[in-house]
Amino acid sequence: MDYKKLGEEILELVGGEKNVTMLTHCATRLRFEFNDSAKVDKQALENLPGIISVVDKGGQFQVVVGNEVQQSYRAIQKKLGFNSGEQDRDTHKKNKNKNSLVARFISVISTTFTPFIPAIIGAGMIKAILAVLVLLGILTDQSQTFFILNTVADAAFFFMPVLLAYGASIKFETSPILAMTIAGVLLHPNWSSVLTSGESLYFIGVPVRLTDYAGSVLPIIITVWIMSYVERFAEKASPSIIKFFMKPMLILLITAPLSLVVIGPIGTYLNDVVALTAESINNYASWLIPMLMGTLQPFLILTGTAWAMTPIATSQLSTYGFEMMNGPGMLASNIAQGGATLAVAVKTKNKQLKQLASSAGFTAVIGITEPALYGVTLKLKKPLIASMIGGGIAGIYAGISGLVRYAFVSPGLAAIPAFIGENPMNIIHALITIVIAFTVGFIASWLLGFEDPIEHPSSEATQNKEGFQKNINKAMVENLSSPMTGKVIDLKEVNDEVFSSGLIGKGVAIKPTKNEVRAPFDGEIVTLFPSKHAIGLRSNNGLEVLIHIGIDTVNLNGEHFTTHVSQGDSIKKGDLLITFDQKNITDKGFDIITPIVITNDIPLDIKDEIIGKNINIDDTILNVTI
Amino acid sequence: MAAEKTITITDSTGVHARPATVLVNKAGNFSSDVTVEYNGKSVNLKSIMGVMSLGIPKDAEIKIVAEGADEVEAIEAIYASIKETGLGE
Repeated sequence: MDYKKLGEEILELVGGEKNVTMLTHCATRLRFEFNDSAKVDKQALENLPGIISVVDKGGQFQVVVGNEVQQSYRAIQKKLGFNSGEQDRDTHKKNKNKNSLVARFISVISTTFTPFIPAIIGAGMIKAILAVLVLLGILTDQSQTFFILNTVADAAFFFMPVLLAYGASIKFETSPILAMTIAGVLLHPNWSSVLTSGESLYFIGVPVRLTDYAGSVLPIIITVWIMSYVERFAEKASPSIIKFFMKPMLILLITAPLSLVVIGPIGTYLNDVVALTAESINNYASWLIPMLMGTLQPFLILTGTAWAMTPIATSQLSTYGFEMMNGPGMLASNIAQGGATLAVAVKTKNKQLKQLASSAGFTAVIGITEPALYGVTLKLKKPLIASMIGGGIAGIYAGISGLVRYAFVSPGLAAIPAFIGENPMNIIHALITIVIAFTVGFIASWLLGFEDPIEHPSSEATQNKEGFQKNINKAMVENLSSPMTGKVIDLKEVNDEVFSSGLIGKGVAIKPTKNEVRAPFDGEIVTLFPSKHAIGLRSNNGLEVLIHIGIDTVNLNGEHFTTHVSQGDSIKKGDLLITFDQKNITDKGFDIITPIVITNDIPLDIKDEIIGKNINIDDTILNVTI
Repeated sequence: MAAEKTITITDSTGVHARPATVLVNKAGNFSSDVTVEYNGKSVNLKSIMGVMSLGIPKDAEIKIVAEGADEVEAIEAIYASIKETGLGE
C-alpha cells in the first residue's frame, strides 16, 4: 500500500487543500477540520482501499488509516504547505459554532495534546527504563547518571505548558512562538525564588497569587485562548508601519500579566478541583474509575472523548509521577479488545476477516486498538460487547489492586515498562490485569459469537455474471441432475469456441440418445430463445443453467424443435421442456452435441469420471457449491 | 450521466448464445453498469441469461446504456465488437 498516494487521494476526497483548516494525526488517524464539511465525500473515503474507517465526531473529522498514518499525513501536509494545521486565517470561515460545547472542548484538548504526545511518550519511557534499572540495582537513584537521565525525562513534564502552548496556538489560530513565550513567562525561575522566599508579589497594586506552573495544563490552554483574542485586538490597534514590533509587544504586554494575575490562578484552581474530585472518587471507590474506563474506553475512542481524560492524567503524572485515572482502565480495555478480536480471528471461517482480525487483535494487545475497534469488533457488534465485559472486569481488579501507570504511553504489551515504578507489586498487578482482560475478552467473544460475514471470492468476477441472478442461497451444495439421456462429453471437446473455452460458463456436454430435454430442478424458465434451440433455467436456489441443443442450430429457426413451455413459466423437476428431431437435425449437417453450462460465477465440481459415460435423465452430472 | 448507443441487429439469427457471450464478456471488462434495452425490457448486459432472455431477433432496435467511470469507453468497445462481428450496426 502506497500511503503517500493514499494521502493525496484522501486530500482530494475531503475537498482539496483549500477546504482543510486543521490537520493533525495520532497513532492511526488523520484528524481534519474543514471550511465546508459538505465538500467532504465521506462515502468515497470509506470505500477507499487502505482506509479502515471514517469518523465524524467530537468536532473533528477523523480518517482511520492505521499504523502507517504518518506517511499519508506527510504527503497531505506537503500539499497543504503548513505545519500541523496553521492555515491562512482569512480563508477560515466561522463554522465552528455549529459544534456543541463538549465537541469543541474535546477538539481543543485533542489538538492541543496531539503535537505534544511524542515528547511525553519518549520521556515517559525513559522514566520507565530508569525505574527498571533502579529496580534491578544497576543504577541507584542517588547517582549522577540517574540525576541527569531523570532530568532528561523530566523536561517534557516540567515544560509541559510550553509544549502545550504550541498545540493550543494551532487550535486557536494564534502565533505559536508568542504562546510559547507566555508559557515561558509562567515557568520563569524568577518566580520560584519569590515563592520560596514567601514574599507577596503585587502587579500595579494587584496581588499576584503565584503557583508552580511546572506541569500544569489548564492555565496555559486558557491563556492561549485569551491570547488569540488579544492578538486580534493587537492586529487592529497597531498602525501598519509599526505593526512588526507593536503587535507582538501588545500581545505579550497584555496577555502575560493577565495570565499571571487572573487566568493562571483560575486555571490552577480548576485543575485542582478536577484532580481532587478524581482523587476522592478514587479513595472512596478505587475500582470505579478503572472499571468505567475499562468498560467505556471503546466509546470514548469512538466519540473522541478519550482525550478529555488526558489533562487529568498528565497533571497527575507531573505531580505524583504516576496516574490511576486513565492508564489502568485503558490497559484493561486495550487488552480485552485484543482478546475479543483474536477470538474472532480463531473462530471465523471468512479468510479476509481472519487475516484482519489476527493482525488487528495483535496490534490491540500491543496497545493500539483502533484497527481492531473499527475493523472488527464494532462491525460485528457482539465482540465489542465482549471486549467491554473483559475491560470492565479487568478494570475492577486494576482499581482494587491500586494499579498505577508511571508513563504516558498507550497501554499494552509494548508499553509494559510504563507500569514499572516505585511499587514493585505494580507490574505484577499490571500482568494480572492483562491476563484477566485477555481471558475474559477472548472467552466472552467466543461465547457471545458473531455473524460471520459471507466471503466474496473476487468482486470483479461476481460482478461479471451475477447481475441477473437474485437470491442465491448461501453455502449449499446442489447436485445438478441431467436434463437429458445420452453420453457425457468434456465441454472442451465441443466444436464451438464459445462453449469449449468456457466463456459462457463451466459445465459438460451431452450427446443425446433421446430426443427430449426435461427440467433438472424446480425453478423457472428464464430464457427460451425464439429459435427454440436453447433454454435457460433458474432453480429456486438461484442456480442458472443454459442448455444449448446442438451447435449452430440457431440457423434452423426452430425447425425440428418443439417447445412445451414458454419463457417465464415455473417448472417442476422432470417437466418436459423441449423435444427435437435428432435425425433431421444431424441429416442437415448440424452437430447435435448439447452443452449444459452453469452461467452463475460459482465454484463447480465437475466429476472427471463421468466423462464418456452414458447417463439417464435424473443422474447427477455436476456438484455445485453455491 | 450515462453513455448510450442505439443499435439495429442485422445478424439473421439475432442475439443468441454466441453473440450474447461476446457482448457479456466485452461488458465485463468495464466497471460501469451496462444494460441493454429491448422491447421495453432492460437487463444487465453482464449476464448471459439476462441478455438471452430478451430473445433479440434480427432487425430489432436495442439500446445499450452504460453508467460509471468508464461508460464512454464501454459503449465504444461494445459497439465496435458488434460491428466487427456483423451482429448489428
